[in-house]
Amino acid sequence: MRTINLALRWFFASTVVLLHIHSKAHAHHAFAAEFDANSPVKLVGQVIKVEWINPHAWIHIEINDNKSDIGKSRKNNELEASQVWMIEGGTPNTLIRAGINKNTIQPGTEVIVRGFQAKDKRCRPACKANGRDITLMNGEKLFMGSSGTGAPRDGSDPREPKR
Amino acid sequence: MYKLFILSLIIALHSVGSDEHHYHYSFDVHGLMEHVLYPSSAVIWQSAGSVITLQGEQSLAPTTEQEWHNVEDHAAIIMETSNLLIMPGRGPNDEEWIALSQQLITTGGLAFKAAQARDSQALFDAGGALYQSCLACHEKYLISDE
Repeated sequence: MRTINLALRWFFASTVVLLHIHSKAHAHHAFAAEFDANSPVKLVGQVIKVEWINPHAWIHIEINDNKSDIGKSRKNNELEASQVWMIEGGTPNTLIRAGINKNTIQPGTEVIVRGFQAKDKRCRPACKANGRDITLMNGEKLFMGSSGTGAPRDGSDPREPKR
Repeated sequence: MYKLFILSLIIALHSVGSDEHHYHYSFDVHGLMEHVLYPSSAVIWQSAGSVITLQGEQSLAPTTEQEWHNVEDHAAIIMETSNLLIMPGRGPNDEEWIALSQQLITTGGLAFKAAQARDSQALFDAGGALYQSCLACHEKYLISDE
């Protein structure tokens, strides 16, 4: 429950406290407020927990260092990096539309997640990232992010309009 | 006719004056979000869904009458926050602001009914609808410092 609280605080701290009310239309900058588009990560590891909750589902994975690519994220992190990563997904409704339900990603199975690390790289209590896509053990690759959040248009969202 | 005009003017001025004198804004929109809408939304979101581990699935749904009543209370707060958001002088109060604010009556109402019915799946669905109403408003009215 504590991780959920932290996640929700994180969400609101970045989207409410740091943002201004404007009367004109603007894009939602939640991604840019929380995640670092210049810190792409590829995480390979075993799922240890799935939080099937609103407003965002979270997948916790214990990464395999030898197979994962966390690039400069690890170098920038002065503290010892945690091996457990919390990956933020889209809303459960969004994930269901993308073909992911609460039983799709089973604890104990190995997955590959591509995404972007959080701006806060202290990795306490766990490293955090925004997930873009997830590859399951059967090779199936599914989009697990949110559309319209300001996340980089990296082609992982099949519904994303082409530029 | 002149007397009628004066009477109308007095009534109009009195009603404007009443608004100004009776409203006391303890929080701006940010404060309302942080101290009222967020905590109540968090209760809705944290009271539905599940956590799945190797040990099994744990439902987050309320298990006692007191917990369900707590969800009802916070759903009611969300519904009434709709009115707080459209109080004169607080937000932009254009048509879209009012419409988006009033979505909270609908989505908060879904959560309220779900809690009254002790229906955990309906509460989970209401939490999703609530987030969509948050997102719709954020997309229109929020901009980061960046």
